[in-house]
Amino acid sequence: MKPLFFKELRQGLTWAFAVLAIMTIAAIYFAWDVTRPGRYVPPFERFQQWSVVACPLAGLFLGVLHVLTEKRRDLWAFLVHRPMSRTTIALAKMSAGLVLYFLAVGLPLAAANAWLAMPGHVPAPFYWPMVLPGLADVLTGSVYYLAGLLVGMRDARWYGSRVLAVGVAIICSVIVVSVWYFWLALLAIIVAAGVLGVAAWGSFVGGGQYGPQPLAAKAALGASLLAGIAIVFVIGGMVLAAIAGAAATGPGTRTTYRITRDGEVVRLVRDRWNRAIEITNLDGTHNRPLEREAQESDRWYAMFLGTDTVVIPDESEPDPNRAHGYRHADTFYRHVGGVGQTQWLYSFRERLVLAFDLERTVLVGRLGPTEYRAPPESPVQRFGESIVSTWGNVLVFEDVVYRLKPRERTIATMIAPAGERVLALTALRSRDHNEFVVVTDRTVRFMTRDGEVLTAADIEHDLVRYGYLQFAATENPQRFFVWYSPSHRPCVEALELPGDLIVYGPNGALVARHELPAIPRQYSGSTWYDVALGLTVPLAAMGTAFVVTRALGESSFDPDGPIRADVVYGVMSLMAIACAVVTMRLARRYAFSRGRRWGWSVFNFFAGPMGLALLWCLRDWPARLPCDACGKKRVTNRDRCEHCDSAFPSPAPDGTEIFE
Amino acid sequence: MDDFVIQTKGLSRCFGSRTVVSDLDLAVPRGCIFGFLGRNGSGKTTTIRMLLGLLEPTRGEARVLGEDSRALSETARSRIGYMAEGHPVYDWMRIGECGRFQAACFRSWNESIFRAVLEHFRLGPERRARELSRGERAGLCLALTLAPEPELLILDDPALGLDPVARRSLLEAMIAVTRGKDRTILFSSHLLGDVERVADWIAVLDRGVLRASCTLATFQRRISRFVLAWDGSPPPDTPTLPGLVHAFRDGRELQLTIANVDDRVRAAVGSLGASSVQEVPIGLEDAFIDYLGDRGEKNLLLPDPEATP
Repeated sequence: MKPLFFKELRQGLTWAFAVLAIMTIAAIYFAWDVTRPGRYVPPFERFQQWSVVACPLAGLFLGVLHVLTEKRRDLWAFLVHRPMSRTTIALAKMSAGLVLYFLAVGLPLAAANAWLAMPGHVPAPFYWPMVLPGLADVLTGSVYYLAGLLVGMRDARWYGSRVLAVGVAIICSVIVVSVWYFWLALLAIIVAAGVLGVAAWGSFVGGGQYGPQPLAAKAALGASLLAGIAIVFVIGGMVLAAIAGAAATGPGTRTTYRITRDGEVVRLVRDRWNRAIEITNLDGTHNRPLEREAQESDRWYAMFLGTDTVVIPDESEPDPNRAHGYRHADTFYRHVGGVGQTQWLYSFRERLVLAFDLERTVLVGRLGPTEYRAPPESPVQRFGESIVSTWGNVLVFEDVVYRLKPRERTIATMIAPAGERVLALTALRSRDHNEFVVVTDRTVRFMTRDGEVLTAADIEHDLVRYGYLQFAATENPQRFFVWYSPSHRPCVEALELPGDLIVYGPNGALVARHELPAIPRQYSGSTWYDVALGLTVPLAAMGTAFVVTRALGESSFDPDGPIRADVVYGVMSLMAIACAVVTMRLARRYAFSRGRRWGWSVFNFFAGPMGLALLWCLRDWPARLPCDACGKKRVTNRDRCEHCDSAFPSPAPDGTEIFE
Repeated sequence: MDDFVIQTKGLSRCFGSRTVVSDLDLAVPRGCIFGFLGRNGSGKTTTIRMLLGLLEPTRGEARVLGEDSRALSETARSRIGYMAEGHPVYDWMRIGECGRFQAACFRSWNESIFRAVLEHFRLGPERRARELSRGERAGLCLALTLAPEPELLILDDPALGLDPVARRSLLEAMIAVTRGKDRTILFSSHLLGDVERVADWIAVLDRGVLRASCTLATFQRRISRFVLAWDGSPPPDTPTLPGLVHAFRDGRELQLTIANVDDRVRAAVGSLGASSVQEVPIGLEDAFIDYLGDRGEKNLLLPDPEATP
């Protein structure tokens, strides 16, 4: 294997150098971009924008080239006809290719991270877990490398199923950028690399054909193609949904409650084009003046107060205030303000506010709850561990809310409610973000920037059931609105609970209280959309979604919502039966064995049109020729006719045969 | 020990609905130089690729050195030398590197054979493969194929694209190295001179169908040529004769090449009404050309310009 490994290494060196050069140039560009004087560009995110795209592209490019250049008939024969197993040759090829890929991509990325890690290069702190997103991207690129090998190896048409194998890698990418924890990303990469590695190995062993492959490789290839097919179906489904949505025939109206600028509560009905078509008071009477105004103006929403929403974090979520994922800078620090050339970042790790000079890209100071210190000194006291959130230059902890004063390089306490736990904070849009609402487990407070409480009221509902709060305020008369809406979290039935809108005056005086009945969910879709959904989504996907959502205790899967479940399930069932029947006929036509015939039919009953597409892409379909004995069409790859069991006739002698 | 190094049974390969190799029953005796003949597209390369497990047969089976061709073991592969028709080598390698790479992959490697063949083609180890001419490239490939001293040598059109000098040189090298040992060579070609020079057993493929498999002597013995002359004009249609492989009209003469001539055929030829019938000797090259050409009525039979309409 050693000579082959070194041969592969040498062979791929040119392309790897090309990738290395491009990656290095890109790294230099991004380094220049994040250090351009006078502006703050978050370096952590900026480098990820590069690595998340560049690594997969580099992997795919190297993978396809690594095999395609050698797939020419004679050179391929020269490669594989030697006294070693194809598995050995495949392993040598893959390992050399991966080494080249990791060098070409990993070196510039490692250099970029080392550069980021050195103080004085970027106006932001660096912590070692920040290399994890780049590492995940490099590893994801190796999945694309294997996908590239598979794409290059398979004997399929470029405009057919050849590129579908990249589907697994795309899904892997989506998971890697979506999950919160690096270990989950790593798990996804290992699984995807495993599937694609086995599929690429199988295709190598089979010389690009499906038939000669080992069973595990066939399964892996099937999984790879199915992922690609699923992506094609999702995109196709979205196009169909867009077309069906445009041809929607249902009423398509949406009803919501709104607060007018005068503080009245009304019910607003909008059509599918977002036009206000009906405005009624809570007693059901039409609010003609508002309706007229809405019809005369396109900007009907200006008639209503904008509300600001707070979703109370679910206690069951792990570290609800901090878990922003391993790829987000928020996991490490958050931008909390900037004045002139100084940017202020709250470091979750150091529990201090850090000041960076944008011109010199250096740390110029650290601010604690009591003091500011220039480096190398550091404040003695740090902020608490229980940070809830930040809003602009306001830092919210469970026991205290601070406001940063960058010019003075100090921090002021806005409120420290004794015996209460701060749950959330938001700034009021209706008051140009100059006033805030602080929600604790017991009280809602409307307050100014300087900490003056304008009004305060007790929490009126259980925040698990009513975890969705909206706030607004009016100046004249001074009114404060607290609107409790049910959360779907406990159960979907909770959405049937009425909303509760409470209006307060200054100093917590109750002015009014409105019970807002739940608005019945109505079918607003299109039958064509439902039919399209039933046609494309297989039973297995719907069943899995149903089981998973139930198992997770989620209730968001609600077939009675915007779709007509009877239409969807009906079409889906008919499609499942049709796919199974078509598969059975195909299998008979191409003389599958009894087990394969039934296996594929049952699979396609659940996998629907995706399974049918998979079957079509996966197998080498033999030609069918008329049988000389019975006249029926028979497959060419069987020794005997599947209809009459006669053998293929030997070529007719013409009398010129000369045999010893 | 098995008498045949290659045996196929009903070996067939289809590409779509086109059958490229049809029901091939072939046996290659051990120790012979086996010429595998056929025109372009007759299925020679496809057969060889199936024999080496590089292509899956659509039907039938092949055994090479006693093993199923679809699953040749590493040991079997080490006993088979294969030279593909395009003379493939890695362009970026130097000749010396090619040798070292191949030597590291094969269990047995005779460096003196490698060097001898390189010297025969005047190839220095420092030259890059991409700089070689076609003939030199073929020489390098031959050196790489012969140096492991394979028991069975399969050469797919080794002289393809070479000038006569390079071709002769290649054949000389091939014969020099392989003759005198218990070694079998199967080589495909459509260059008849090459076959005549080296082969002692031949097989002929015609559009995927095996038409002949015999010794060279048998082949020459079983092909006959008749020259028929008429006083007037000869019959306008090609005569229907068993074993007719070729017909050529030259004025009032008709030349017929016929396989497997027996008394019955001779009688049929005699009954064509010609004023004279001569059975003339035919050279091997002519026999090959006629045999490999299109059969029967597909031959261009020009009408006699002097004949009255």
